[in-house]
Amino acid sequence: MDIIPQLILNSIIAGAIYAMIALGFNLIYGTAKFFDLGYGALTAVGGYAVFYFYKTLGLDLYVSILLGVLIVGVIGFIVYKLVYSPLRKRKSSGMVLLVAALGVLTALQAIIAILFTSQFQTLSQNSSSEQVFNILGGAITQTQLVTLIIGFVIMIVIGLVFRYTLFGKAVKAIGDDEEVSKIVGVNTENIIGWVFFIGSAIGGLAGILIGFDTGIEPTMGLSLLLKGVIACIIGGIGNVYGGVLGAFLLAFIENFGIWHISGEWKDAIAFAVLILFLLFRPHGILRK
Amino acid sequence: MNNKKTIWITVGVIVVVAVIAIVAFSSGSNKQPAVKQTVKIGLALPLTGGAAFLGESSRNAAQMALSDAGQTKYNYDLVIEDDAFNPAKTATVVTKFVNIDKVSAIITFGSGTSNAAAPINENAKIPRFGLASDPTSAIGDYNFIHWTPPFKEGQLSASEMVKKGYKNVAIVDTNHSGTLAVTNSVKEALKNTSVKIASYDLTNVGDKDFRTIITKIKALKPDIVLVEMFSPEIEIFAKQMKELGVKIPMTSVETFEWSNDPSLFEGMWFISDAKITPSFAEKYQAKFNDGPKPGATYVYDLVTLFINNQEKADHALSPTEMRDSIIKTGYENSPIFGNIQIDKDGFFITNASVKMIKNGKAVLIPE
Repeated sequence: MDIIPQLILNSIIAGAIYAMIALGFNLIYGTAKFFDLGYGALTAVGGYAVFYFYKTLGLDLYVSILLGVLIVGVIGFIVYKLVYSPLRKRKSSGMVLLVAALGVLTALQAIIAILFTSQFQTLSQNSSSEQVFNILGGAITQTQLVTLIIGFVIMIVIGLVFRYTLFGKAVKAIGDDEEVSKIVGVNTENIIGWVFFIGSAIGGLAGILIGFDTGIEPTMGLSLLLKGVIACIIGGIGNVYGGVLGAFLLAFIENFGIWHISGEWKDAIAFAVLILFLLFRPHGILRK
Repeated sequence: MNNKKTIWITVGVIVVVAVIAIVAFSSGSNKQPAVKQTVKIGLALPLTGGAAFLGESSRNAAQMALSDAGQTKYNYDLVIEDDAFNPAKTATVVTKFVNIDKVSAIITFGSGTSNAAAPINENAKIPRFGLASDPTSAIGDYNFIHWTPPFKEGQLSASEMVKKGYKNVAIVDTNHSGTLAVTNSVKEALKNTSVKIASYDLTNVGDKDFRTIITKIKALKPDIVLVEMFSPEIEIFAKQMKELGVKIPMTSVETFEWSNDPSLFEGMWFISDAKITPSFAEKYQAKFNDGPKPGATYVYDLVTLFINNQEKADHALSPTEMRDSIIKTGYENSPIFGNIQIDKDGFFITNASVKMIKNGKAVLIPE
């Protein structure tokens, strides 16, 4: 049996998840210019919000997902206003912001564990009944297909917003030079707040889709975030298309890398690729 | 004169009362302490996280052992702490048991957690009994393992594969000392059989994407897949096997029973630890409206063992005396397993059993 079609599909499935994480992370990093580790925990917030609305309260699936995405966006916005914005106004260094973000990550994970326990949970009502599609000799589930499609849709929408709207141009301008943007009249504080809302909502949606595919636990965000960050660095940090490209490249390298060796090497392969890029192509494949 | 008489009578009464009190007190101390002394037993269990359902069952079993002991000469205090199946937390919990709670004996749950606790117990000279497979967690003079040894489980797994006519097996393992000890035993036992190992894949704890490993296995078409993973990884693995349309049967050593959803392995056989007396399972079921989960039986057994040894003594045993008492007397009347031998490596030797998942529950397959 030829396993290559399934390996390609496995890589696309993993790449779709990494791409979702990378999209939100890159958007925030490209604008606010710091590593928002707290973004990792927001993926779990999204998953648990849907768990609460859909499985605990029994609300409609789509209403639960919409509420979950909105809640994560609002939490991301509040975290920015309460934590990051005051620090940025004080011209705190990147290290201070990184430590603050680590604090946000830890606090959010702890709150989720207190509210929902650390028990692993699944979002699907009946995981065994999920529809599986056969594409070119490989299998992909409905959730994985939806993740893939949503990832591409978000990438295209962000690309169009950046190119054709005033908001998108303002975001790009802040990413290029925040001080100059202020001088020319861009309300940077407002725009960055919106970027945190949108970026966090994308992260939350990623967490929700992962929850339907595999499941959720309070600490799920950190490992996802690391893969998202590697994808961004490979593809081009701060570049929305680069993040997606890096995500799929990383997934292909990981999955084909363990074809002939044990699966335990997957993470080692991912980080080896990261180190190689940092050494030889630190700006990634696509420049910002 | 009257005053003198009164004084003598008073002195006489005091002397008589004092003599009676001394006689009564001293004769009583031979049989039962006037004030019950308290013996503390520390239990580090996973009460949160993916293995919480196992820890909760063990906690129930410990409390059941205490209530089954009935009237005792000593008070027993079960100091139960959550380690979330995390070795770093186990080390913290066991340090607390040693330095703050001053327990006489400790029970830990799992191999990784027992490995973390072992050096602490050895230094503190407090006996610890781990529910573990990894033999290295029984280092020194104060660490023991109360669990069916991996070599017993490995031999039985290999012989079942031969009996069922399998030609080759794919093994998917977890990088965890407990599962590694078990799969090493299976691999060792398979060396002398006709069953070949088609592939061996190791995964890390916390991995969630097994699709490429499953794809490789699907291409190899082994007769059976031996899966050694914990919850939730094992459930995700089973789900992804199904999604990828792989219908190769699975087996495990214990881990189906460790799953939060054994129904995913409906109809599949696996190797389990020692058989338990049906009366215990029935009693537990009646009390908690659920069957005992893996580990609960051993915890019940150990708490009973500590109480039995302590009750034989005329004073509260020090940790070393508790250890010596257990080693000296052995364990001939385990309420759960019958006769148990403790070997020179600190293993309580019990035999493995073959079970299958039937109606979502693990049931013994008659020999």
